[in-house]
This record gives sequence, structure tokens and C-alpha cells, in this order.
Amino acid sequence: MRADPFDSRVPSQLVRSRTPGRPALQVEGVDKRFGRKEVLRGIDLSVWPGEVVGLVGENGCGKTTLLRICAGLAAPDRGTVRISGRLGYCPQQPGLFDRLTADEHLAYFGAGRGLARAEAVAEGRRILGSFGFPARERSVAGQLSGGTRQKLNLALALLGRPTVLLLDEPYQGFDHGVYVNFWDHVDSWRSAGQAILVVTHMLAEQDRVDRVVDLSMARGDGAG
Amino acid sequence: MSFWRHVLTAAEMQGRQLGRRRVSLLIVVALPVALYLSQDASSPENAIGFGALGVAWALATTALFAALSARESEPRLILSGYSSAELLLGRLLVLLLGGFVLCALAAVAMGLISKPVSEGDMLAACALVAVISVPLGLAVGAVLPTDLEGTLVIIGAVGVQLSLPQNSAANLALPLDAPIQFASRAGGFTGSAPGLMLLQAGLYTAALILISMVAWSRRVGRRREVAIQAEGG
Repeated sequence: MRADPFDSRVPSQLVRSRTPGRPALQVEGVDKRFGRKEVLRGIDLSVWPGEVVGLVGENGCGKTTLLRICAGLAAPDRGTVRISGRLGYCPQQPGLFDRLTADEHLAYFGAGRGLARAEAVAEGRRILGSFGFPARERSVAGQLSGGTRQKLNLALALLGRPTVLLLDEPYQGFDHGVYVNFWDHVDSWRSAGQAILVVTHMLAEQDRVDRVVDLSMARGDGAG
Repeated sequence: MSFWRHVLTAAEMQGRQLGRRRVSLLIVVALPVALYLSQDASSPENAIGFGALGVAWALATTALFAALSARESEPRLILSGYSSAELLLGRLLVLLLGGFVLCALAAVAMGLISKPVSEGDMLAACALVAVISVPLGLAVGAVLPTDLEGTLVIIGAVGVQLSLPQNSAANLALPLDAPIQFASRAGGFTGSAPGLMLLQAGLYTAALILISMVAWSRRVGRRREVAIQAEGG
């Protein structure tokens, strides 16, 4: 197994632990260019079950692109991604259907995960309830506030208990209480053995993750 | 089993979304009615053809926007376990169902107002309009990048079809030639042999569905560089 080149660049106080075993998410040698602009170069990254890795870096350094490549939504120019188990992806922009209600989203995405309709709605409602989503909310997604849409966006990623979670600034629009509560949820997902890669700008919360990977440094145009 | 469950769920959700676009649905019905009635007032012998093309434009545009509005969200559905073919088939089914309902209403109205020479030909024209124009809109939506280009292409295809003389060889190259030929026969004009028109319509429909599937899969499908192994695998 190749060494993760980021580790040597990560401030040691931010490195907590690494769960031994096989990585749930393994990125090897990923390059990506958009035209003449090189966004990612030689990215190697592993996330183990029960580990939370924070992905940081300046705007435009490729955080969202790397997550999209990990999810299989964008093709790298070179390199591979290997995922063991089931993937949950929460994009930065909620990819919701404006004319479907929350329950219909849960039924739709749940069917893809093999869940019966009632099971998907019940599990989704439980997740949404834990984020403070209004229990009686029956509006279509296009009529929800930004923060409420984001809660639904995150709940869809969590549906069916994925083993690997890719979260791209999943708390945008959350009010303070729900934001703090979000990191408590991250702790519980880690305890449940989920491998989590989360894009974050919140430097104050980096003590809530096990490792921090700075893509600006990894690309070679930062302090590295 | 999960294939059909996925297809039917996709069809149901597509139907719910379309059903909630009430203003759009009103326009979808009003546009062919306006086109048909205006032609019936000025040149009634061509009114059935114009009505059929109006329905075709409305259905193709509806299919185009159904495809485009799913572009942002469907990659996530694929991550959750759907295939692009299941999502496309679900959308195709619900649009065809709606298309047949609209075409049936149009056939009844045109039958009562225009008194066609051959009602069978008119029904064939209406049915083929639905069968061809829905895949046409889906294919355009899968291939072209935005709604503006897609709408212009559909307007172009229908507009050229409207303006071409009926005996022009160029008709054969256009997707809606077969229903227009049937509409001409229904209005008392000569048209190509029905078998030939059905063959032409079948080939066009198959080609458009194939284009839709390939282009949609490339647009929303998972990239092959990412390998997902079952847990413990």
C-alpha cells in the first residue's frame, strides 16, 4: 500500500489516530486538469472505517472536484478510486427535485438503496428529525429554506447507512445550534464505523476530525 | 425485480413532478389547440397535420425539460443504486403515457371538428406523434448542454417540417414525417404507403431512444475510474 503523502505535511497536533485495517476509501495517483489549469496532481488519500478526515484548502484548490471524483461523478485524468461498501455523497449544492416533497425524496432515494418505501421514509424522517427538520413539513423542496433543503440533502446521503460518507460543506445554511449538533453527529457516525471525508472551511472545528488534509499544500503551491 | 421497482419509482416521481407544473401543462395543451384552430380557420384541409405537429412540439418540449431538470439530481440517484437506463425508462414511460392521453384528446377534438376522410389514418398520426416526439425531446435533452439550444433545435425540427412541401424528399430525413404523412391521408391527400411510414417511424423512434440512452448514460453515469466493492469484498 502506498504511503499517504499528505501525512508528512499535516501539522502533527491535528493527527489523532489511524484505525488499522483496510481503507474504506482509497484514492491513488489522481490528477485532474480543467483546460490548462491543473487542479489536482498525484493525489493519494486513504480513509479508514471509523475515521474522519477533514479536507481543507483555499478556494479553487480542488476540494469539491476531489469529492466528485471520489463519488464517481467526475473522471480523473489519471488515477483510481476504490471504495469498499456503500457510498453516501452530500454535494455542496443540494441536488434536489424542486417539485417533490421531503418524503417523496426519501422514498425515491430509498428505493435506489433497496429500502421499502415505509422503511425509507421512517429512517429518513428519523435522520431529519435529529437535524431539527420540521416534522410536519410537507412542502415541495423548491419551497424550503436554504438550511432546510441542506438538511434534506444531508439526510439523503445518510439514508441506508453508507459505509463511506463524502460530505462537501454539508452544514451550509444550518443555524448555530444545528451546526454544533452536526459535529456531534459526525462523532456518532465515526463510532458506528463509517469512513468520513468532509470538506470544511471551519478551522475551529478541525479538532473534531482525526486528520486534516490540506489540498493547497498537497498540490505544491502551498506551504509544502 | 429491483429493475422494475426502480423504473416504476422513477416513473411515479417524474409523474408527480410533471403533474405539479400546472401552468406548463396548460401551455402544453393550449399550444397545439391554438395551432390547430388557426390553421382550421385559414386552410382546414391541412389542419390535422398542423394539430399533430403542435402536439409533437408540446410533447418534445415537455420531454426536453423533464430531462434537463433531472440533470443535476440524477447523478445522486445513480449513486444511490439506480442505473441511467432505469431512470430514462421511467421518464419515457410516464411521458409516453401523458403523450398518449394528449394525443387521444387531440384525436377526438380533430375528429369532431375536421371530419377526417380516414379516422384510422388520423389516429395513426396522433399515436405516432407521441411515440416519436417524446424520444425526440429526451434525445435532444441528453445531447445538448442547455435548454436554449434544445428548445431551438426542437422548434427548428418542427418548423422545417411545417414549411416543407409534402412531396419533398427532405421530409424523409425529418423525424415527424410519418405522422404528417398519415395526417395528410386523413385529410384526403395522398401519402406514402402505411407500412413504409410505420417502418420509418419505428426506425426513428429506436434511433432516438438509443441516442438518449447512450448520451444520458455518459452525462449522468458513474465514471469507470471509481470502483465500488461490496462490503468485505
